[in-house]
Order: sequence, then C-alpha cells, then structure tokens
Amino acid sequence: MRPGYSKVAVVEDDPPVLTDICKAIERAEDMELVDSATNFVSGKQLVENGGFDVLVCDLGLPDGDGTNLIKMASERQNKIDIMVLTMFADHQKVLNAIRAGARGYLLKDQPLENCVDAIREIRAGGSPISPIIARLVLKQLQPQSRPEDRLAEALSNRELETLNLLSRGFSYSESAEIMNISAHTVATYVKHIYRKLEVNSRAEAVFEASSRGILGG
Amino acid sequence: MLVRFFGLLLLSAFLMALQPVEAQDDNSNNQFDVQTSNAGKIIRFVDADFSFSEISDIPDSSWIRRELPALWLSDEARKVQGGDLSVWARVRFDGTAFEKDSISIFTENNRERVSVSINGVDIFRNYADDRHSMLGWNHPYLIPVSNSLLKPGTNEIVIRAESGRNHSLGIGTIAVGSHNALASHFESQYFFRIDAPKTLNWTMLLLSVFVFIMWLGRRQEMELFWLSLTGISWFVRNYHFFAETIPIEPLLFQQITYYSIYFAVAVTLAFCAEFLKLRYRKIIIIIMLGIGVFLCLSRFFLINTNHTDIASNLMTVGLFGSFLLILAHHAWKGQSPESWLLLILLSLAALTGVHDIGRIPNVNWWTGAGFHFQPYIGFLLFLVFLLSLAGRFLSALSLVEETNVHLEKSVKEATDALAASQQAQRKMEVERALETERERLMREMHDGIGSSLVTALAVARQRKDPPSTITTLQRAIGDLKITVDSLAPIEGDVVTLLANLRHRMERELSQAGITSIWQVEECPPLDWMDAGHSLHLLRLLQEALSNVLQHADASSITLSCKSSMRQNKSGVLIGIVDDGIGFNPSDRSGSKGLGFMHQRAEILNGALTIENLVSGGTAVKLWLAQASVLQD
Repeated sequence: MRPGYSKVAVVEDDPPVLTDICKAIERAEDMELVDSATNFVSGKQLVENGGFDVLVCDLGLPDGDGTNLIKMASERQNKIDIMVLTMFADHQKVLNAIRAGARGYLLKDQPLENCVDAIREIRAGGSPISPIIARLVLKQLQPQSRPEDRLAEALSNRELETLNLLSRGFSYSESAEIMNISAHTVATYVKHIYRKLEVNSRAEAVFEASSRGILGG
Repeated sequence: MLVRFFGLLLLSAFLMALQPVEAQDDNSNNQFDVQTSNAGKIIRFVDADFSFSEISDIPDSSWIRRELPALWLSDEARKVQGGDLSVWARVRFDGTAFEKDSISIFTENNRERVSVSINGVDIFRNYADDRHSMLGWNHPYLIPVSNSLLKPGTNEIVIRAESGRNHSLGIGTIAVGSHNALASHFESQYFFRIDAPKTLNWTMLLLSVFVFIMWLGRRQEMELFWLSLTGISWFVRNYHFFAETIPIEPLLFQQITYYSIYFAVAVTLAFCAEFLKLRYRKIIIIIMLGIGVFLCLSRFFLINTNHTDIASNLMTVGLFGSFLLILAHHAWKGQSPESWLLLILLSLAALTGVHDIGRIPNVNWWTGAGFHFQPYIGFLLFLVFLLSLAGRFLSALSLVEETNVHLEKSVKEATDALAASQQAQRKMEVERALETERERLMREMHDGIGSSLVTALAVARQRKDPPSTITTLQRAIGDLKITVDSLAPIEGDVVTLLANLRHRMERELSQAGITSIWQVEECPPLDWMDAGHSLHLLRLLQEALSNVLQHADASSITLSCKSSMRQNKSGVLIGIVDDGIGFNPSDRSGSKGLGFMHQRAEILNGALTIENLVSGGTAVKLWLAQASVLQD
C-alpha cells in the first residue's frame, strides 16, 4: 500500500449526498472507495467486513444511530480514522461522535474538493475543532464540572494551551505561531485531545456496565 | 458593742502595755489639756468627778474623781443600781480662761441619753421625752453656752448619762472652749459619724431592695440574692451608728445589732464565693452560713454564762481569715483581676475592722480617726460588689449584642446561600428546559429542513443548476448553521461567538482572497446574552462579513474584540474592519442590510457605528454593555 493512500468507506442514508461524496473520493488519486452503506444494518456489515482506513459515517440513519456504528468500528480497529458526516457540525453531535471514536467531521454541504481535503488532513494526523467545541471541552476540564465529565487521562499543558487558543478563535496556523510550533502539531494535539475524550467515554461505559452488573466484575 | 473580728490576738499584747492613768484627787478644778488655734482656745478635760447617784437632782456629795473618757461604766452601775443605769459626771474650770469669747460645750461618746447643765442650769438634753430610747453613743453634741451663765471664778459642768439596764453606760469626751474652734471640730465629727454613714447606708438599703427585686425576676442569678442580703444585713448592722432613737424594743434592737455582724460577714463572703464562681461554692456558702449561725449561738451561750463573747469574735476572725485564704488561692491560681480586687478589698475591710476594735470602749487602744470605719466598709463592700456585678452584666449585654450580630450574620449568610442555591437550581432547570428545546429544534433542523436543503444542494450540484440556485441553497444552510451556533451554551462569551463565525466563514473568506486578521483580547462575559441575543449578534456580524465579501473588494479583514468603556459603562467592543473600497451611504440596495444591522444593535442595546475610513475600507464597530440589557 502506498503511503498516504487511503481506503474509504462511507455510510450515508441520503442518496444524492452519498453520491456526491463517493464521486469526490473516486476522483481523488490518493484514495479509493472500498464500500458504502445507506442504513445501519448494512453499515454494521460494512464495519464487520473491514478493509478500510477511513470511515465516513452519518449519524441519523433511518434504522439506527450512526454513533453506535462509529463505536463499533473504533473498537474493532483503532488504527482507522473515523469522520462523522454532519449537516452543521453542531457541538453536541460532534462531541458525541468524538466520544464514540470519531476524529473529525465532514460537512454535508461543503464543496466536494473540501471533503477530500478534510480526509487527507485527518490521514496526516490532524483533526479539526470549532471554537465552540474547544470551549465546551475546556469547560468540562474545570474543577467544578460534574465528576463523570472529568477526563480520566489529563490533558498535557500544551494540549490545554492549544485548546485555549482555538477556543478563542485563533486558527491552527495562528495558534502554532503563538506556541512556536508547526500547524501540523496543533492538529495532532487536537487529535490527542479527541482520543482522551474517547478513552474517558469508554471508561465511563465500563464503569456504568460494571455498576449495572453486566460485566460481573 | 463594735466589731472585733480581726487582729484581736495580735493587738492584745499592745493592750497589756497600756496602763490606766491615776486620777488626781483635786476638789477644785479638774485636769485638762489646752489646745489653742487661730479659731480660739479649747479645754479638753482629762478627768471628771463621777457619781452613780440615782436621784434626779445633781448630787451634793459622793463624787469620785476618775479619768475621762469613762466609756465602760455599765458593769459598775449595774452593781449599785437596781433599775435603769445612770451616772453623773462633773467638771470644774476657771471661767476667766475664756475672757470675752462666746463659748460652747462639746461632748461625744456618751451612752445613751444625755443631759447637760452648767452652774446648775439645764442647757441641753438629747431627748425630747421619756418614750423614746435614745442612741447617743456615736453622736457628737455642740452646746452653746450663754455668757450670762458663766461666773468669773470656778464654773461647773454636769453631764448626766442614762441607759437601759442591759445597755452600755459611759461618759465620753468633755471639752469647753471657743465656739468657733469647737464648731469646726463638731462639724467634721458630725459629718463622718452621722451624716455620711446615714446617707450611704440608706442609699445602700435602697439599692439592695432594687437588687433584690432584680433577683426576684432572675432567680438563677444567685449573686443578686447574696448582694441584696449583703446590703440589707450591713444596713441592719450599721443602723445604730447614725440613728438617734431606737426604732423597736431596745433589747431586741441591741441583740439584732450584735448578732447581725456574723450574718453580714457570712453573706458578704457568700457573695464573693458566688461572684467568683469558686469551685465547691455551694458547700463554701453553706459552711459560711453555718458558721454564722454557730457564732450567734456561741455568743448567746457565752453571754449567758461568762458575760464575754471573745470566743465568738475569735471564731469570726477565723471565718474571715479562712475565706481570705481561699480567695488568695483562687486569685493566685486564676490570676483574675476580680479576685485580686476582692482580696484587696476584704483585706482592707479587715484592717479597718482592727481600727474599729481599737476604739471599742472596753478595749480602748486608740481613738484612731475619731470615728468608726465600719458604717463605711459595709457600704464600700456593697458598692464594689455592685459595680463588679454591673460590669459583668454590661459585658454580658455586649456579648449578647455581639452574639446577635453574629447570629444575624450567620442567618443572612445561610439565607443568601439558600437563595443562591435556589437560584442555581432554577437556572439549572431553565438550562435543562433550554437544552431539551434546543435538542428538539436541532432534530427538527437535521431531519427536516436541513436534510432537505442539503439534499437539494447535492441534487442542484449534480444537475449543474444555475449558480444562483446553489448560492441560495448555500445561504439557507448558512443561516441554519448560524442558528445552530446561536443555540450553543457559550454563557455570553462574545469571543467564542465571533470565533465560531470566523471558523465557519474562513474558507469562504480565503476563497475570496481575503486574509482574516484576528485580534481578540480577554473580554468579560455578557451574562445577559441568551440564545436570542446570540442569534441577533451573529446575524449582525454575518451581515457585516457578507458585505465585505460581496462589495468591499478587500484583501484583508480585521476581526477584533476587546473590553471597552463607553459613557462610563464597561462593555465589549467588536470590530470588523476591512481594507476595501468603502461603502456608499446613499446606496439604496445596501441600506436595507444596514438598517437590519442597526435594528439588531438596538435590540442588543448596543452602539453600532459603520463608517468609511480615510485610509480606505470600512469599519463596523459594535459596542455591547456588560450590564444587563434589562437593567438599563
């Protein structure tokens, strides 16, 4: 497999949107569409079959919650990059997806070339974050937040600094300049932050499960 | 009978050293000391002629010369007289000694009824009739003598003292001399013996009654009870110092006066024990009172057998002394100023007691200050006790006040905390309701209109529909995004709102070749800003950015946000400044958008300015107050 080459799978229930994205991926030289699904059931099959590096997944599927697909995919293969396909990138949906294992998002209305760029970016190790999401994550880290929202693995000082700058509206390159690092490192920090959020949500799930007696621990 | 409760043992040795002076037998003038001052001459008689004759006229014979004062004649009188006791005392002096001065007779310490005559003429008696028993022993008398009664040669003053059979009989001082010289001496003696003790003791009685009434109101304050008893018992004890007549049956009065001293001492000490909250004070008080009763009984039996109560007095000394030891121990251990004060005061009382013992007629070590301290010491004890107690009550009142203030503060804090918690709860409920509503709206936008718009956009792109269609659809989706952002819980953080707008439009701006310059500082959150306000703000800013994109032909846009004062009010200043061609204020198509912007600024209670810069470009500035819109 060529380095930088991506195998992409897409789950999206709206045919015109699915077609748009698939076309964009097929057109790109450095990526390949390996599979696509239009509902939860076939999406589940897609995840079980595997064979992709990138999963682009819609959340509102007619027969189920895309978040669960993301969780399944993330648990099966933690090397893959998962992107949530969202209409508005609104904070609650994106945060939920991140906790399930997503590392980025694609906006459904954005021009096709942007879509491919976003996949390339995430393959290169970076994740996007909006100022509102950055702010919400920061708020979770405050000592007065609910105990269950606190991170199991604390953010490093650099990660916190990054989050701070991004929440205050600085772009990746501006933040990188302020912190005297590369824009790519900033993007990597964001990805680390996402991973820590996911780990936290896993720990919560385990805690919840064990407290309900499912795991019999 | 006076106090002899302290120092009797020590001073008895001193008593032994004093020898009675033999009276000179001289039928003519009596012995006297002469005292001359600016006011005139005074003759103080050192001896007098005495007679125990019971007849009502001055006896002619059987005079016996003896020294003055003769304070203790009752025992002798009882032997020779059947009923009430009486004695005659006669002094003779040469009338020429005073030349033309107006003269007076001064006499004191006579017990009890006194009548005075000069050269056989009655000139004074201290009683009006026979019905009242007199108390003359402590009274000084100044008796002016008409010059016409004086003879050039030997003059004769005769004093008759009368007393009940069970009372004391005695003749005190007799002096004759210049009226002026004697009057000043008389006045000071009268003040210290009668006037001052009378005023102070009646005051004490009044205060005691007041304290007693206070105690009735607060029975648990035993200090009040003992203090009132202290005052009342000292008044009873001291009454005979300043009263002129005996108010009740004389024998009963005498007994009450005698026995009240034990009781007065006992309750005084009881007060001290209670006041200092001595350990085992209940037991101490019971023992004190027990000893008091025992001393009374002891005196009663001793009087009926030995005719002396020296043992009772010694026991009183023991009582007082042992209490002083307890007090000293307490003062030493507790180091409290009150204990030391009381210790000093009681020691002072003991010393003045010794002074008074020295003045007892049948002890007669000294005349001391010329009067008894006892009527003062009772008052002094009472006053100091009262002041100490008042001080304690006042500090207790202050303490209560402080406690009240403290309590009020605590209550206020608790109330505030409760209100804050209720407010927080209400806020949480509102937030939860908002969150529910927000989720419903979002679902609606996602599944309904949003979904349709995105599908439509995809279809339009695939069909290569005219750009205007695609742009319209994109703008509709953009508006929805703005609405979604306005619902985010950002707690009035304008910077985040502006940042998210920039984030949304970054790609559009860069595609139009416009660099965005980001200049934000720390801004205070605008607590009044809710989702509705956020939407107005975002739409206003979006309009400004759209204008730049569509009309300005700019190469850069500066987005700024900083805290700023306006008309002495703190707030936030948002700026969108481009380096384009500026705008034409008279452009009718643009004015509609600007009008909307102004309307939104007004709703936000903000100040919006849009102006062309001299250097080119347009500056849109929006100032928002930090204080609530509603408060304005």
